[in-house]
Amino acid sequence: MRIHCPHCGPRDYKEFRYGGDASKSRPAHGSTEMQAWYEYVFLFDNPKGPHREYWQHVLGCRQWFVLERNTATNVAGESSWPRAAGAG
Amino acid sequence: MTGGARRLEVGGRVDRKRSIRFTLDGRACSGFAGDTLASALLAQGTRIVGRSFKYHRPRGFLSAGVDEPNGLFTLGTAGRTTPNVPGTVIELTAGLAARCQNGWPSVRFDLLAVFSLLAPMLGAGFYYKTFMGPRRGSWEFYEPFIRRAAGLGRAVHQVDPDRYETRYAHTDVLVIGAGAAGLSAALAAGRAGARVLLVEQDFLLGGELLSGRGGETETWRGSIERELAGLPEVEVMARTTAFGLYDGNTVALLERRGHAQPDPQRGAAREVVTTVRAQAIVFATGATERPLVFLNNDLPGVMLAGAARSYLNRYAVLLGNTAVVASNNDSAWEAAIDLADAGSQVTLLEERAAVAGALQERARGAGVRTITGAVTRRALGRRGVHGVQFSVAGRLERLSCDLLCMSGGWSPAVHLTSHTGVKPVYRADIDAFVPGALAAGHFGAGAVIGACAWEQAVVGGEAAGIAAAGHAGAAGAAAVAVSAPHAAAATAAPVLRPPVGKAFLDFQNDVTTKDLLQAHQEGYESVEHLKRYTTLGMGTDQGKTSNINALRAMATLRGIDTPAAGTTTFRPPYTPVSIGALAGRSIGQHFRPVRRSPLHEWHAENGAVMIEAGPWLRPWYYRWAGQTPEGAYVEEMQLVRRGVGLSDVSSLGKIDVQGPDAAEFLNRLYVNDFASLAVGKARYGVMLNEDATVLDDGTSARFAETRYFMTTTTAQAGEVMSHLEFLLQTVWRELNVKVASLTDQWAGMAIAGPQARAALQLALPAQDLSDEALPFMGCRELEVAGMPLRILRLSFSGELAFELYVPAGYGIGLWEHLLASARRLGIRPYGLESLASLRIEKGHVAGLELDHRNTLDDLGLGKMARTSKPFIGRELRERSELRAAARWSLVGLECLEPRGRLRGGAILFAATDPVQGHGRGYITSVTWSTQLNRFIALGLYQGGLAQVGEEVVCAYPLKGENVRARIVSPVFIDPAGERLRV
Amino acid sequence: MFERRSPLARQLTGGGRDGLDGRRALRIGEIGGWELAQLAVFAGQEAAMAAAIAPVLGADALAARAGHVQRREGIGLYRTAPDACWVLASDPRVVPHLLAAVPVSAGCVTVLTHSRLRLLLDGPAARTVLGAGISVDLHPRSFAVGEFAQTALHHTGVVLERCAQDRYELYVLRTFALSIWEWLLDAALPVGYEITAPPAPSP
Repeated sequence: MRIHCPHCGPRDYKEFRYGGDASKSRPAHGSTEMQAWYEYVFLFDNPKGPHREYWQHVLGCRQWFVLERNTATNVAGESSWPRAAGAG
Repeated sequence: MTGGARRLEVGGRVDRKRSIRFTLDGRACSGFAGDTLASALLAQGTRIVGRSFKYHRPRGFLSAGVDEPNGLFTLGTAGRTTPNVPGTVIELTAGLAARCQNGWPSVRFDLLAVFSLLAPMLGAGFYYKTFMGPRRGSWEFYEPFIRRAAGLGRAVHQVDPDRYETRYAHTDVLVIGAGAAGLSAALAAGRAGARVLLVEQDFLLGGELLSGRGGETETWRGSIERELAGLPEVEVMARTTAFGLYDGNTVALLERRGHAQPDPQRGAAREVVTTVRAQAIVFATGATERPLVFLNNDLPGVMLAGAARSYLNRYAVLLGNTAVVASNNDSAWEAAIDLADAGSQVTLLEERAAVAGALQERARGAGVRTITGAVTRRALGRRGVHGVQFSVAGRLERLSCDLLCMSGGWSPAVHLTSHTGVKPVYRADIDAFVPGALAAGHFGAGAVIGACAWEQAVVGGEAAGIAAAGHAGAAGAAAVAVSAPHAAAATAAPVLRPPVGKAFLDFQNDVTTKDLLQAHQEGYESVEHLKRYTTLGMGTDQGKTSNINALRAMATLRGIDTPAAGTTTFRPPYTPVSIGALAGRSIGQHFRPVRRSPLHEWHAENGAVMIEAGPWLRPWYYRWAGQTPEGAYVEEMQLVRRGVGLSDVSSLGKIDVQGPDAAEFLNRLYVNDFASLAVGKARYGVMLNEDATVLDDGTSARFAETRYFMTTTTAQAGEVMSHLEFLLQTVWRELNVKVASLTDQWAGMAIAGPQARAALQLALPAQDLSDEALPFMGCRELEVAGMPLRILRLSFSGELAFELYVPAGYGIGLWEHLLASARRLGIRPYGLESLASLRIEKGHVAGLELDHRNTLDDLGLGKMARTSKPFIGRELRERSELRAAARWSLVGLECLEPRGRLRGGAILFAATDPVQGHGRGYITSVTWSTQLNRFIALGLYQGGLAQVGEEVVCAYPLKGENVRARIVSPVFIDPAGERLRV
Repeated sequence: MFERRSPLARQLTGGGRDGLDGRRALRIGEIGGWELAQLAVFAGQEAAMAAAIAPVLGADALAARAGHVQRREGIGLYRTAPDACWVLASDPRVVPHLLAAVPVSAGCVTVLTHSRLRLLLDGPAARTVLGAGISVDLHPRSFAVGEFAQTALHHTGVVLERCAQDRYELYVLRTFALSIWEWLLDAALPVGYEITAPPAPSP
């Protein structure tokens, strides 16, 4: 499997680590809404098909990025930098 | 010299001038260069080469390629033993030592053939029904017996002395298979300017062309091979199997560099696995001939027609004087004609009523007698075929023969294209499965897509090669057409026949049509169930010759058509791969990299006994303190408690945290307050995971307003670094903070003990190290002799201590300087065991307690949390379950039995509990306490410190020990911390 | 001043082994005499950073492209991340200058000289040896002279630079250096290798 690092280009999957579901956003730092934290940390969809995931090029440039991966076919598609900070 | 009774005087691709000697079961044999083990044995007239898996029926070679189910051999001796290699793919090399399998005492005279008489008992589902039956333990009883009787070759337990390698390769176009289609594709892509890698499992290029009669096709083959050799960007790998297709156009190749004895000491590899990434792939993997299904179709002397033709034309071995060719398609006619031309008396039994006139004409011309509408019913003979029974026009007839060739059509080798989950699709016109919709960048050519005729293969190969090169962006030069000479078509147009009586479908696993019928009757009719119930297709050949026949038979039984029955799932590897080849050089010291401290050499040369700690190699204890770890660590603890010791802490994770927002960043990470940390001070901190379990602990020192030096535990260093990067790069991008790993940059050492300051002062006479100048938790950056030095006054042992950091290259220099300067104070090094023991006495948690399951409160650190500020994990920490009083939390334990010892992992029970089940907690860390003269421990216990004073039983069932202990505070020494502040 | 030591000091003794064909197709050794700093820029501070470092590194130091080494006298610039680059200097004044020049509001400098070892792999077999463990395509069409890659070798992160057709430099993590060295020599066994003399002690 090859993953496209937005900085380094396509690389072997062994250079990367997985970092979780990128479709979720972290509650604002300091939020006291227990339910929001609970959902962020524990509740995940398990979609079959396209999925946005965090990956880190841990044995390369060490950048975190968002990878579009199809969980049904394991096709690693587009990579992009994480979106500018907001709630997330 | 003829090279065997059945070897022809002329022809073939063997080199009669180069005789090759080998042994079979210790017997000296010979063949020619260019032979396979199979062709050499067949040339000698050998018929029986194996016994079948269950029934021990005599078996001969069925095929001439990787699909061979019967003729399996064990190669090599001692650690080099490789079982289950088909003789049909073993290139004859000098010194080859082969052994037959699954016969006792020999395959020619096999006492276990008595199993044939038990055949009714050994049908489908035999294993499940007999051994998973009502009596418990029956499998355990029967298994050794079954394993001995059933079977294949045996693996050995010796170390394989050979060298195996793995490597990476990249190419624009990977062409798999060097038959007519593959050669054509490789040349077309190469001419278009693409980087091309052509792989072929055989030791010669040509595929089916090698089994033909030469002439025009041979001229073509030779010219293509020469031109490919001259193209600088084309690489050809023979003896190389593409055994798996994986995600992202990744293909795994197994290259066999030779079965003779390579010299591993000089770096000669026996096998090499290459992981190749291709922009485009051309599958030119060919097709496998199918057997016909009739009674006794497994008798030695019954062979696939294409194989008989291959032995004749490629190896100059004529396998029968009187041959019968049983056919349902055109391809077998070529075999019949070639056999007749070579001097056999040939009868062709053709199932079809009508055959093309031209073909009939050629057969007649060659002297082949043909009977159309003839259905082969039974092979006659016991230890070898001597006749055949067939039906024609409603009558049963017989013929004598010493070779029975059969052809039930061809099955495209769709294995690789299916590995990524693309289901093969059925094509009625050729009655075969072909690759399903190929992914972008994948192309097929030749027999694998049903284009069996050789012009079709050449033309299709060329088109695929050009398309593949174009896909890879190498369509520069217009491709020159690969000229295709004319040759006869060999289209398969097979006739479907229902299973008859007891005839073999899977030769290797002894699955017959009866087993299929039984599986059907018992409801195991889906192909995946059929496979597992009957073991069909589960042998080392993975059913290459059997699967399609079985699927069609099952479809017939179910009254559905073949495509509706589907196929089983194809998975890598296409052909067997040795574990050694997959491991490559990742064995022994190269299994994984070892991390060594900058001080490693000093330790190695000064009596340290090293121990693996995660990836690190660390000093366990030093020989000055004792010859055993038990004795030495206690000595080393005394050193630190009474004098001064020096230990290597370079493995701690070290992180540079810089930026205007660094203070805010640390304040969000750690549960405790870091906003107020002054420059020149360090603070112990704890980080939580998002779910409020403890991630790590460590100290961060503020060396400047915007610059911190963070340390982490050795075990969590990588995890913490990635965590920090994640937060800064995805969550808090607004923070102006940068982090960088310093773990490799700085050597770290701790100088500890009541004499630590005096010792350090001797080493650094110009520095003011007084409690006022450098108080507890103070830090300072110095430059000593032009070398940066960082001093942090903090303690892991509970004694007065300093941590010192210098750039790694100077580590040994500083270490030696410290030891030399403070020699008169008795300073000595102490190792990991005593380091860990000292912290237990002090009640510091470490890796064994920080297991990502415990909360801050579980570890007795709840008071550290500054809940007035937000930090990671703050909210989820408040979950009521995590606050329950009965949670297992940190306690100290004192052994109450003078001769008893506490052990890590021991299960804790209340004194009144029965000692069974999971208990109320467990011990995490144990040491002998030099201060208390008894074993002490840290552990987690239900209710935690509320139970102080209670007596517990520490059960260690592995050693049958139940030892009494008392719950105490985890801080065994100096609870007020007076020793730290002197 | 303490002696500066290489973790390969005992390995860099010269000598070597012949390959299967009797030749030694790889020269391998350590290169000394350089310093390394990582320069990181805060978002929106690129102009301030460029101005601050211009006297030390030149006007277009931040323009270094990913994967391409930007060379100037005594200095190599490696764009290691969108917001960071490595400054490799043979002139010992460069890193101290950089530390002094970069304002804390614009970014930061981290000295990493001791964290890496710089290995030389030179000879017709260098690509073959590296290809046993590095999954990046080393064909000159995709990894040309003057290019570098941050990649993995033997489970560790390395930086590989192609300095000439058959000459590569490999920056390995110091604590893994001996393991990587042993791995490289093992991979080079079939082709033969010659170990170069010890590196010159760095200033």
